Amino acid sequence: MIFLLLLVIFIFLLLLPFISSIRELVSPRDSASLRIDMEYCKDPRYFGTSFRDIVRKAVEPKIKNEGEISVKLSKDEIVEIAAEKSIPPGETIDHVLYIKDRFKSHQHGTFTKEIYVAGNANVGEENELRALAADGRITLDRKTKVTRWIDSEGNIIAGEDCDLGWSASCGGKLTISSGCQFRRLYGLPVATRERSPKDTPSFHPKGIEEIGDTALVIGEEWFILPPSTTFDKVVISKQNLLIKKKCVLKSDVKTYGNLVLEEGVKVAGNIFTEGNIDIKKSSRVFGNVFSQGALHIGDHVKIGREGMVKSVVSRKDILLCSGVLIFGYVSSGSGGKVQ
Amino acid sequence: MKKNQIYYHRSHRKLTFFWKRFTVEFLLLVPPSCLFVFFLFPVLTYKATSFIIRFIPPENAVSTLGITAKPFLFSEVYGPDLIGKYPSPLFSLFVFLAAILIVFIVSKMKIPKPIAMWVYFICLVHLVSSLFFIFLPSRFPYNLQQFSELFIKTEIIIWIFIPVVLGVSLLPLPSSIISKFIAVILALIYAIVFGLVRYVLFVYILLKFSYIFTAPLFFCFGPFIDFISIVGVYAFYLSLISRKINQDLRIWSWSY
Amino acid sequence: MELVVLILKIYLSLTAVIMIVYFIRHLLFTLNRLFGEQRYYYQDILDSELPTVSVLVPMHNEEKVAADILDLLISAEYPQDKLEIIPINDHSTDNTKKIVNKYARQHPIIKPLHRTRGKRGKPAGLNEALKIVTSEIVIVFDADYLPPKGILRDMAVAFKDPEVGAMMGRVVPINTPKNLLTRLLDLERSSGYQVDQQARYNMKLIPQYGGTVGGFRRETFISLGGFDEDVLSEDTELTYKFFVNGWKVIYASRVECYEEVPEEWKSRAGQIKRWARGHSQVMFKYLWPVLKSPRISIWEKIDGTLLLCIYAVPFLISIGIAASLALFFIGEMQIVESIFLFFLVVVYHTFGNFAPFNQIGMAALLDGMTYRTRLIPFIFFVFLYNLWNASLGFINALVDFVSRREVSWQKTDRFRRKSKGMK
Repeated sequence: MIFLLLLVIFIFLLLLPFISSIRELVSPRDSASLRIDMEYCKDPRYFGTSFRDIVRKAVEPKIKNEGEISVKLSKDEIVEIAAEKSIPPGETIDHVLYIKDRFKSHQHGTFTKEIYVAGNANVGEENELRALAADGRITLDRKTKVTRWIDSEGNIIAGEDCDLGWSASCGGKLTISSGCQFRRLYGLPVATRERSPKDTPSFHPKGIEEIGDTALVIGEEWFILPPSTTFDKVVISKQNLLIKKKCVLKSDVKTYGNLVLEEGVKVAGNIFTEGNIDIKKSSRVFGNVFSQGALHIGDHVKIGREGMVKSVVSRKDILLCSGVLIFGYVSSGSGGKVQ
Repeated sequence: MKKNQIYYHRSHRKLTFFWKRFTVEFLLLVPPSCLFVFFLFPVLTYKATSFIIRFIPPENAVSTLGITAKPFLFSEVYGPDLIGKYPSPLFSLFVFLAAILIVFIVSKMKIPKPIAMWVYFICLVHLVSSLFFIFLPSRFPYNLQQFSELFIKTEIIIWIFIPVVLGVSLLPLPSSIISKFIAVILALIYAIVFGLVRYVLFVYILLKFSYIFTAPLFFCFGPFIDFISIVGVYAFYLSLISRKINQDLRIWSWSY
Repeated sequence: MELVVLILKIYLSLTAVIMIVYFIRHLLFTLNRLFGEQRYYYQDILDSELPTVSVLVPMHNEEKVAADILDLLISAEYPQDKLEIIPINDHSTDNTKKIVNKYARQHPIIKPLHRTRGKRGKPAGLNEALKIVTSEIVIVFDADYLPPKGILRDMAVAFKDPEVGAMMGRVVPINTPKNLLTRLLDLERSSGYQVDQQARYNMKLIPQYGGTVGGFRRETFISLGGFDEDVLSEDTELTYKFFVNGWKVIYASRVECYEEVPEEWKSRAGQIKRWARGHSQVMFKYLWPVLKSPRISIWEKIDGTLLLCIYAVPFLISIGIAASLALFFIGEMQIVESIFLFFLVVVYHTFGNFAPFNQIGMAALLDGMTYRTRLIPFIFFVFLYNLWNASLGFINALVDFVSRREVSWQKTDRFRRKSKGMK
């Protein structure tokens, strides 16, 4: 009797940790395969493309006159249809806007839903937008804040101190001014406005060993190419790498430390670093720039070339200076800023 | 306006590390639980041994009925002062043949292979044990007292380790210290209760059915399965935390 | 007898040390994945100048799955003038040839390679294909895989990094709901990729090229000798071939692709045996080159060695259990030795991908899995099963090494009921 009792208790205790497992096995509540989007393709203008697609399918068939209609976008939404729209200062709009031609918002407007504009969109000072897709040009006045994204089929011009949200993309030129913040940019090209020169923080090496300015220096921490060197092989450095003025590198560059390109350096290939990158003024990179650290791009630096899409990607922050031109895509893991 | 966060793909997710918080949690979770076992095991082993002595039928007791105390971890561990019985050659042969028969039957059955492997393993240990008792019965090195001492001391060490293993595993989870503490204590209580039940049951089996089952009990139902207490609690706890996190993605950091 | 006891105890101690080393390794990986800085892969690089790519799909009797993967590959987003798809029909006896030829007639970018002579097997098939391929990059998918639209671009872009010799994406089971085995394998895969591979990539150790959802530089690999046709794990061999010669293999967590995992235990046993055997073959071949290569850092050497020896450990543990049993009957089983039994399960309770339970748990957490984590205790039941099959694989590899016998390729069974296009 005692033995049987002990045996029953033993079996019960043995199975006890498996009860919830057995339940999940017999009556699964979480057995689906991990979801992979089979249609996923990297698209720098994904938000705008996707939104236009949704709007065109959902809204356009229902347009009869101007006014408000109820439409199912990702959920049920009120959509205001207008030929043109001008928003007075300080107004708050809580519904989706579908504008068939021009759109203008004066200062201090707030838009909590998406806006689609078939023509040009002018957004005044200190507006707050959730998202904006325009088939024409987009102009943002200073201190406008975008929470999610903006996309234009034409050009985008962003004034000073704008916050461009998660993504700002266009089919034409994307011009951003001093103080603008961003995460992702796409334009052909992306350009920062000219302004007066400013001091920028630098990763310029400290304590490096230099033996004159004509030597290739392999120091303990820095590998230094002397000025005006032409090098046509791939450069891979396990240390920090300093490429001095007016060097020409005809292939790719990779370093496991920091990378500094001094003034007037040209790199024909791609740049990859595990550390930070500091590209000083007037340098030219024809390929992609990729950093696992932070990225500073100095005045009048050009990355990529016309007719091609290249990328500038940084896991940490990006600082763009004045007169920068990037042909293609810019992505910053923690956020970028225009100095 | 509400900040509308766009979240990264799951491949970029990570958590934030808080040195101080984790150190404090470790100190609150692990040492007290270990000390709990440390101070409690003499009482527990005494109670278990008393239960054995009280409920073992007199005809199964071969010699004195008593409780022995052995020094262990700056205290004493208690065990029954009993002498069990050796299997007869016929019984050993019976176990040997039964093990082979079970292996044969299971190999013909359509049961999942992992379960079959466990059956084979259990039968293999029985085979080895029965062969030992067929050919070298006098060389069997354990009496009941020695075996129960080995088993219970092993269990005590495992009980002390359980809060360490489980505590360290739970530390990174973004949940409250109280819930983690409850989880560790539950695992510990389960392990202690299960360990003591096994202890009493094993002594009973060896008294009733002979030493031939010493090795199978120890190897198949001994320290191997103590792991279950850790994983069972961990898995269940994790499922609760995961459900909570999925409702609020703000808990995640991204990339760095 | 005393000498025997001493040897057994020393053996158990050494095995325990090895297990602790692996436990620490996996703990570090888990902590790194959970709390460390996550190193970016290159999928954010948009570049209009993409390399030429050949997609190789080895097929042996793949009539159940062939059409599905070909449908997906022909609709992949990649410049068509830079892409070719080469299904390698490897001595098939079913309708594979017919299916492949039909696709080739309809789509010029599909250029089948039909193998009816020569050694059968994936490495041999790939080697033969490499002779006719002219692209810069070769991407390999197993026939049961379901690549998403943008995956080729995401994979090819890795080779903009001049140091990358090969890359590996993430494999996700599609038949997860099928039964307990598939659900456990789903957890195992999650752990292996979401935590293990990513941590090794973060820590600049040795992420592994997995032979599918992976790509490599064609010319470089050919110059290094191509695939060794006597090695079952051609993927592990490629990984080490690149590493000892100074190239890097990188892991791309964001680059995901569906696969089919075995649905039957018998099939799974065959898979473990093949992986254990193939991996151990690579261990015998590359252990010394890894240790002496001047092109690998000390940490890569340590991790590389541990990774190479990973399928030897189940065999060592099996011997350890036998040693414990011997010590028990000799009367020398002390508490320390008995604790060994507890630890070996805690540390090494699963051998599919050698992940302790907490690594599986953290992977599940990162992937947003909820109730399925409650299945983790079931992994306890496959402990012996995996131990046995992995040990058999290792023993086979040992015999291969000593006897230099020829190895014949074994394929994993397919379970898809009928081929259908993905919607």
